Amino acid sequence: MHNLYRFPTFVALLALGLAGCRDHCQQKVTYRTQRQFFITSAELRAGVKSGPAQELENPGKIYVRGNYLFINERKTGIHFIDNANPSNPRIVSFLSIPGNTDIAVRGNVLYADSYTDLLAFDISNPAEATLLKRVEGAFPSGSVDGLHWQYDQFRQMVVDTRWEWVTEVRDTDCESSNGGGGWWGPWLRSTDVAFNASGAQSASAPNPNGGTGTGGSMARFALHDRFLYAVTNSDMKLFDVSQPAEPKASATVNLGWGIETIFPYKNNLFIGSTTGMHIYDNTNPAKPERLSTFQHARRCDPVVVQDDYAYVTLQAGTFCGGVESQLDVLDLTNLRAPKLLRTYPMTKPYGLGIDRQTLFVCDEGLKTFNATNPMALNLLNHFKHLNAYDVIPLKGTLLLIGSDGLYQYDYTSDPRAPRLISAIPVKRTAS
Amino acid sequence: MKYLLLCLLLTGRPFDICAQPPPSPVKQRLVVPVRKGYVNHTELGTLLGAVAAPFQPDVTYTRSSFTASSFNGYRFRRGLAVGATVGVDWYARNAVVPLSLGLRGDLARGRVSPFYAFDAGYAVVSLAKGKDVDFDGGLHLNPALGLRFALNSGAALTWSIGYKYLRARTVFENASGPNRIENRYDYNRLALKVGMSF
Repeated sequence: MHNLYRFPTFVALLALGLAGCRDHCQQKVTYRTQRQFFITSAELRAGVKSGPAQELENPGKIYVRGNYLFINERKTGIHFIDNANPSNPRIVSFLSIPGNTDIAVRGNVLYADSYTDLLAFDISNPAEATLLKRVEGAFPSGSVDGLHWQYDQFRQMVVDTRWEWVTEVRDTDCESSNGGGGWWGPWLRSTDVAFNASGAQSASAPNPNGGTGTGGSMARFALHDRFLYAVTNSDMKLFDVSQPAEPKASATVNLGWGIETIFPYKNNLFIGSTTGMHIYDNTNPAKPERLSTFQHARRCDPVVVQDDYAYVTLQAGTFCGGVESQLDVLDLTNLRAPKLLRTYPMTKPYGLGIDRQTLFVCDEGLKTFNATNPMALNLLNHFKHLNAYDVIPLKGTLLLIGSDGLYQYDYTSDPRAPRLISAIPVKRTAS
Repeated sequence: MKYLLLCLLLTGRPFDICAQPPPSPVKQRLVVPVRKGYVNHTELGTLLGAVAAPFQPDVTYTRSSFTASSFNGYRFRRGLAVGATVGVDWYARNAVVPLSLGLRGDLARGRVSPFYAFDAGYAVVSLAKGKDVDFDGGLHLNPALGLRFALNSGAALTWSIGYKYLRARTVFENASGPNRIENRYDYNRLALKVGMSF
C-alpha cells in the first residue's frame, strides 16, 4: 500500500508535465494565382522571329486563309499550317510573336498583335514570314481570358500577368476555419481552364472580301474594305490597310467597357461585349455608325450572323458573370431594333459557327443543329467526347479546335455524323 | 435510544428496521476484479491541450475535446490484458475514430488499485469530413495511468490520466477550381478519463 499512496503524487506530476502539451497543425494550400511579369520594348522586338514548325501546346484562335490555317499559340505566336490537303495538314513553321492573340490575313500580308503593337508580315513564303511594319502603341491595354495587361508609361514596359501555381505552408491553430473546406485564402478562384486554353471560340460565315481570310466569332480582328478593325476592351481601332504592307492607325471608336469580339457581316459590324451586342453600320468603312445595342445580362457572348439572324452563345460563370448559359437567336430584320426570337438552354457554350442550314455550337462537346427554322432549332447530334471550344465551318469542312488540338471534319454528306478527316493533337507533356 | 434516533434521521425508515441489531459484518474484502477472461474497460473523458496562435507565438489558445473509448480484451493475469480499443475523439475540425491494440494491467491489488493502459493504433475514419474532403488517418498513441475503485457489483470505477497523440490529414480538392488545401493535425493532449471496467 505504500506505493499506492505515492501514486497520486506521481500522477499529479505527470499531469503537470502533460499540461504543456501543444497541438501542432499545418496547412498547405496550393492554388493558382496571377503573377505579374514585365516585357520591355526591346524584348517585344527581339521576340519576333520565324522558325521551324512546333507542336501545338496551348492553341488559341484559328484563322483560315486559302489553303493555310493559322493557329495562335496563346501569347506566344502563330503556327502556319498547310491545309491544301485537309486529310493531311502539315505544320510548316512557327512565327514567334510575344503577346500575340489575334490574326487577320489579306493577300500575302498577315496582321498580328503583339501586346501594344500591330505587326504586318509578308507571308508569301509561309516557311519564313518577314516583318513588314510595326505600328507601335496601337493598343494601350488588353485582356485575354480574364488576364489583363497594360502598358506602363512610366516604366515603359508591358505589365502582364500569368497564372502560376503557388504552394504556401503555414502553421494554424488547428481549429479555426482552416479545415476541410476552410481557409478561403488569398487565391483567386479559377477561371475556366478550358477557356484559358482557348480564347478563340471561332465561328464564321463565308467572308465576302476576296483575298481576306476567315476568323472566328471570338476574333478581335476583322478586315473589311480597306480597314482592319481591332477591338480592345473599350475601343474599336481602325487601321487603314489600303497599302497592305503599310498599316496606318486611323480612327478610334469608343464602345464602352467589356468589348470582346467583332464579327463583320455584309456591311455591318457585330461587336460582342460582356453586357450586350453592338451593331454598327459600316457602309462608310472609315466611320462605322452605331445602329443599336442589344443588351443582355453580364456574360461572355460570341456571336455569328447569317442572313437576318444572329446567334449568340451566352456563357455564364467563370469571369463572364451571369448564372445561366444559353443560346439566343435574334431577329435582325431591323438592325436598329434587334429582337430576341428565342432562347435555347446550354450547359457551357463556347464558340459557334453556322454554314447555311447547319449550326455548330461548342457546348460540352459539339452540338450540331438544323437551323432551317431559327425559331425551332433542331438538335441533330451531340458529340460529348469532343473537347471543342472553337469551330469554323467552311465549305463543307468543319475546323474544330479544343484543348486536345485541331480536328477537321467533313460535314457535307451528313451533318448528323461529321466524318473525321484529320487531327493535329497538342503536344503531350508528362504530368 | 440514541442509536435509534440516529438511525431514523439517517435512513428515514421505521424503527422496526433500526430496532434490529445491525447484522454482524461479514468481513469480505472488496477488491478490484482480476480474474482471467474477458475484460471490458469503457471510458469517457476530456482531452486538454493548447496551441500556439498563428502569427502570435506568445499567445496560446487552450483546447479541450471530448473522448470516449472502449477496450475489449482478454486478461491473462492481473498485470496483463490484451485486446482492441475503439474510440472516438471529438476535435473541433475532426471527429476521428482511432482503432488500436490495447494493453491493460493492474500494478497492485486492492479495493483501489493502480493500473496502466496503453493503446497504439491508427485513426481510421473521420466522422465529420466535409464534401470533397479526403481523410487520411495517422498514428494514435494513448498511454495512461489510473486508479480502479472496486464496486460491490464486481465491476470497478476507473479514473485515469494519460497522454494522447493523434495524427490526421485532410485534403480538400476544389472541384470547381484549381486549388488544394492540405491540413496536417498533430494532437498532443492530456487525457483525463473516467470509466467502468469489469
